[in-house]
Formats: sequence, C-alpha cells, structure tokens
Amino acid sequence: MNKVSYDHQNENPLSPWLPSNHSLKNETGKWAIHQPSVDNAKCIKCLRCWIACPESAINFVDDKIKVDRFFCKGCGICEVECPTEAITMESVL
Amino acid sequence: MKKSFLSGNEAIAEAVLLSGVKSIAAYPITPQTGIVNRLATLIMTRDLNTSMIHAESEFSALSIVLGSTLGGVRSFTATSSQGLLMMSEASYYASGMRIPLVMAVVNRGLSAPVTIFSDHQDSMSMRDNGWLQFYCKDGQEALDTIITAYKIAEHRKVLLPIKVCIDGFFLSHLSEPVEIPSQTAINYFLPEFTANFPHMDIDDPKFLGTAAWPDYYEEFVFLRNKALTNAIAVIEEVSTEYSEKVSQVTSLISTYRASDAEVVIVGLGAMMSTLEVAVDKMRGKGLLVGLLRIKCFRPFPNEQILNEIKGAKKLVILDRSLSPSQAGPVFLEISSLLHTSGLDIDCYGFILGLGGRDITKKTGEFILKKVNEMSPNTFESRQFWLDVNHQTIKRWTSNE
Amino acid sequence: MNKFKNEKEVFKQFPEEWVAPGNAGCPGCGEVLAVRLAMKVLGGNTWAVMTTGCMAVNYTAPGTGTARSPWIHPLFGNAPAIASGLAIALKQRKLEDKINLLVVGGDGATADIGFQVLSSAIQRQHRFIYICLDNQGYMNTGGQSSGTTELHSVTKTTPAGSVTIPKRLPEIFLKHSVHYLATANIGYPTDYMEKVERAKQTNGPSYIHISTPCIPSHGIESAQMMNIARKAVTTGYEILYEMDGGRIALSKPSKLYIDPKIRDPLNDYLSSQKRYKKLMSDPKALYELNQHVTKQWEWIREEVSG
Repeated sequence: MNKVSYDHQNENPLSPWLPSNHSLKNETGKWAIHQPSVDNAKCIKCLRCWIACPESAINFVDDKIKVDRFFCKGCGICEVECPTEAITMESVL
Repeated sequence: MKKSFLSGNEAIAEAVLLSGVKSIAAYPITPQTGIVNRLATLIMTRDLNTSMIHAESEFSALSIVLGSTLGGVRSFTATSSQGLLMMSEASYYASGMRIPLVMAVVNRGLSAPVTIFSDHQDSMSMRDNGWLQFYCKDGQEALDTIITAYKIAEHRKVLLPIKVCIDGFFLSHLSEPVEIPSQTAINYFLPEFTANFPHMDIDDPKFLGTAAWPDYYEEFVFLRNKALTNAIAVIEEVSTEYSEKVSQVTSLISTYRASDAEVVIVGLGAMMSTLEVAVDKMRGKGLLVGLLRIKCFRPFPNEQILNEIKGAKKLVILDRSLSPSQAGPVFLEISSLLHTSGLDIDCYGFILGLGGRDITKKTGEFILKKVNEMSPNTFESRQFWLDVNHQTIKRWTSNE
Repeated sequence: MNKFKNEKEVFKQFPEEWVAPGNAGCPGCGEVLAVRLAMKVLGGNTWAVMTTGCMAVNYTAPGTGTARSPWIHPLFGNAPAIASGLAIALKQRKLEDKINLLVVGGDGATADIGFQVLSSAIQRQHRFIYICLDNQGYMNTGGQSSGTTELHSVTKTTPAGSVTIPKRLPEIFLKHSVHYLATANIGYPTDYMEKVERAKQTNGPSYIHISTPCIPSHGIESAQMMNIARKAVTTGYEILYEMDGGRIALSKPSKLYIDPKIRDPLNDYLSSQKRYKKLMSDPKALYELNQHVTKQWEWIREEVSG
C-alpha cells in the first residue's frame, strides 16, 4: 500500500495510534472484480448474506438488501449463501 | 516525617504506597523479593485496596502494569537481572507507547555464570530502551526517587517510563535510618493520576499500538528521544519542588569534595558512599581527590557533569559493568562528552565490582595507586580491570 | 436464546456495526467476519486487545483504522497480560461491570507464543473473553505451521506435511478455571454469536475457539469460505460444544452428526483444501485422522452424559 500512515495527525500523537472510523476513507470496493447484484423479486429477506459478509458491505435498509459498493471486495460469499439465488456476482471491470 | 530503620527494599515499598500506586505486578527474583513481600504484607496490614498480581513471568509482570496504566491507574513493578532482560521486548513497547511507569531494578549481575549479587550489567544492558534511569546511593534516596519518579514520568513533557536502580544486597538488604514522609506531604506534592497520554477511553476510542512505515517511524523516535533529552529540566524542576515540599533529594548528580579536586572519581550507586570514606582518608594525606556520583544516567546530564569536572586534571571512571572488548558504559559516556567539550582531562576507565565483588575503603586507595602507575588515555587504561584476581587467571590460562 | 434463532432475529437485536468497514483483510477472510460478529454482540462498551497477526494488520495497516471502540495492539505474546492489567484498572475505577474486556488471538498467539500468558491470565478470574481465531497457522507471515496445524498438513514451513502433534486448545482450556468455554465455526454464525453473548454474560474468564478458513493458505476460493468451514462440522472433524459452569453440552449444529453414518465422509472436508493434499495421499495418515475423529466423539459422548 502506498498510503501514508499519519498524514491525518496535525499534532504530536505521542504514541502510534489511529483514530476511530479512519478506515471509512479506505475504498476497498476498488479491489473487486465483481460485486453482487440483488434480484429483489427472489429475495426472501432471510439476511444470510448480511450476516456472512465479512466487510459489512451488505445492509438491510428500507426492507431491502443494499450493497455498499464502496467497501465490497467482491469475495462472492453472499452469492453462495443466498438460498434463492437472488444474488449474482457481476463484473465491475 | 517518621524515622524508621529500613532496608533499601523496604524503603522502596513504603515509597510505592505513598505514591498512591493502585496496581502492582511482579515476579520473584533475588534480590528484589523483599520489595514485593513487603508490599504484600503492608497492603494486608494497612487494609489497602491496592491490587497485587503475582505474575507468571517478568514479561507478563511488565505487560500487566502497562495494561493497568493504559487503563488509567498508577502502577508499579520491580525486578532484577534476568527478569529485566525478560522484560526487554515489553520495555521498548512501554517507552514507544509513552506510558508513564516506575520500575525498581534491584541490580544484579547477569547469567552466565549465575550470580545473585550486585553489579550494573542488568540495567546497563537495557540502557537504550528509552526509559529514564536512576542509580540511588542509599535507602533514603531510593524512597525519595521513587516518589519523584512518578511526577517526572507523568509530566506532559516527559511521559516515559523510569527505572530506579539500587545495588542488590549492598542497598536492597542493608538497613539504615530512613525518614518516611507523611502521606499528607506526598499528597501535596504528587497529584492524582490522570492519563494524559493515548490510553483506553470509551469516550475517545482509538486503535493504540499501530505500525509506522518508513515515512513516519523515525519521527516517533525523534520526538521521544527529544522528550528523554528534555527530561533533564523536568527532573531538576521536580526534584527542587520535592526538596521544598518534602525533603532534600538529589536531582541529577552529587559531588563529594570535588570542587577543588585534581583527581575526580566518577561512578554510580552505593559504592560511591563507601568511597567517601576513602576520599577523606586520602585528603588527610594531602591528596586532592573528590567524587562525582551520577544519579541520573539516562538522560545523561552532560552539562551538569561538565560543570563539576572542568577543573579536574584526572578523571577515574568506575564501571560495574562493561561493553565487552571496549570499555564500561559510564566511561563511554564521559569520553564522548569530553570529546565535544574541548576540555583536556586525563581519563582512566576501571572495570570493577562485577558479580557482587565488594568495593571497600581500601579500593579507593588502590584506585589512586593504579592511577599513579598508569598512563592515561591509552587503550589499556580505558578498560583496566581493577580487582580481577590475576592468580586465578594465571592458573586457568597456564596452558595457553 | 431467542435473539439468535435466525439471521433476521440477530439483525433486529444487533443492527449496529462496531467495526468500521475498510479493513485490509483478504476478500472472504474468515477472521474478519469472526471479529465483526463478536463486536456486534459485545458493543461499544468494550475494551479490546488484538494480538499481532492478520487481524492486527487488517485493522491498523496504513489507510485503515477500523476501531469504533477502544482497541490496543500490544506485542505478540502478551495480550492476555495487558488484558489482566486493563481488568485491574477497570476494577480500581469501579467500571468492571460496565465495560467488556475482549482479547482476540490467532492460533499461533494462543497455542504458542502467548500460551503461558493466557494460561495464567485465566487463573486471575477476571471477567474477560478470549476468542481464538484458529486457521491452523501463522498466516500473517505467509502461512507457517503453528501449534494447532493438523498433522500432515502442508504449510510454508512444512511442505512435506507437518509432523508435530497439534495442541487441542479447547480441551486444554477446559482444564483451566474458565467459567465458560465454547467451540465455534464461522460457517455457523448465529451459533457463534450466541456463544459470544453467553461469554458476555459470564462473570469470569471465557474462552471461545472458532475455526476460520484462510483463503490463500488453505488454498480455497473466497466465495466458498463459509461452505468449506461448515464441512469441518458436517464431517465430524470439528465438534461444536459448550461448557458452562462445568457442564458440557453439544451445540445444535453438531447434534446432527452424533451418528457417524449421518456424517459426510472426511474426504469431503480434506479434498476441499490444497493444504491437505499430502494427508489425502497417505493412507496411514488418513486412518490416524479418522481414529482421532472417532476418539473425540467418544470423549464428548462421555462428557455430555457424565
């Protein structure tokens, strides 16, 4: 990673530490070669995709599954976990 | 003030409780055990709610008190020799994380061979770990130094851990009259602990202990090195305050009859008070000898030392440890200091007192005798083994 | 507990994410999911200690910084000791009932370099939860063998297959004075989260051992991470159980596989990962592994009935 580590510190940090939520700037979505696309008609809202996403990039908002493309690394677990094949990984290249 | 007859270890135990320490963790090692045993007894008899953990190794002992300091309470640990080395990884973490902590080191030589007796190898082998490092000359100084160390360590310009060293057996187990200050006086001097360094705080969550890549690592070291260097001023300030509010305490160095001395003997720790008697005897014979005792070894008080030695013709530097093949640590510091001072003083570096070999009144006279026999500023006089037993060496090397 | 009967219920009870996204972990990493779910259950009033390993790097590599509650990364082996110190501080400040204490360590930190430290930390009986993320190796440094690496499995330092007998950590810690202990598998997330909740309610030390696949070192596809994790349970290689106050109970996912005839063949689990290639080609090794599986089921049957 070429990212520099303490540019955000504007006063003497004393010891090395990172502030909370600093990773919200880290667009891991850029890593993905494919990301999930959700077919709401097939979705039974079981939320197995939500629980199995390591990145917490699958959210359940307004009674719908929503994918956070900023963070989704494209691992494909959600597609495999979905019991009704409502999720398909689609290329983002 | 209460006058008591205490050993160095017992004096340190009193100081720890006076300092309002709430978390203690230690592992037993001779000659430190007296401190921890005494603390355990006092906590019980005085019904204190100070926590004591009997750790399963020194690595854990130091880690536990680092944890409790990061959690917001004043903490203490103590060790010697092998235990100090076992703490080395965690000790670098402590200074790197700017955690204020006080640790008593009851000096003891290092294995191998096994020894339980005093020399300064243990603390000297850890002199680069970024901690402040003091060497006390008696139980009173040990008590006062532990208390001042907390104020120094927690000072916002320092925020570094501190080792307070006393010679094993010579100080730890020697009982002397010690004045114990009142808790009221100490409360007036030492405020309650507040964590003014990055710590565990629900209201300000951080991820502590992160990495720093080549773009930033050096700046962290630069700033904590600066803090260690600037601690000299804080040590003086705090020691002056303690001397005013509680009782007289040496800040960085102390001298004995050195102002007009032609030969100044430089050293650390308990042996320097023994040598005072030798100095008196030599003065009686008309020799202009004096002592310079360095109390604060890290940070090294360059200016203060220079002030005291600038009038001397000869410096005899005593080391109870060594950097192998080269010279003792105190000698290396002093010669480096002189190199930048422009002063022209003859130097002798003597190695002595390793593994508990005693330094007596006679040692002082022997030192002067050797100084008169030797040429200064040579490779031989830089690392001269003053009290090695040449008969043993001859017997063991007769085949070589 | 009803809170964990299905994913929908879990979502209702634990909607908040207590670890920020944007970590440096591999796509599909089992450990990343395990810590995400544990922190959901524990919440923001938690002081957490992370040992050196993949997760420390995932959370603190340049550009990351995923803490939403106080975290500390100390040294490799001393996390439980730091936790003991934190526990003392909480007690002295009268916060021990208000703040959870979590320690997360990999199998290397738990079985090897930090074993002594954890073993003694438990003795002090502070209320803390230790979660061991077990992927059977030192993955952060590229995949070297550790104290839990299965016999004959291939790692970077054991290319011909490991020859050391692995430490069975949960059983070792059963003999320590933990108040609650559980084995878990990332393929069964609601079961795991329920166990974290039980640990949270425990008034003493808890130990949770969760096996988590590693995509690069186990040689698997990221999308199959959960499926492959589950195979360890369906083949009977891993037994999910709990010990609460001295009583051992089989967990729901493993109850199905008490009968060896119901279990999937062990080869289903072994053939799914490149690291078991040597094991699979060695009939004696396969026989020994099957014996080990049989023995552990005998053991748990006795523990549960006795």
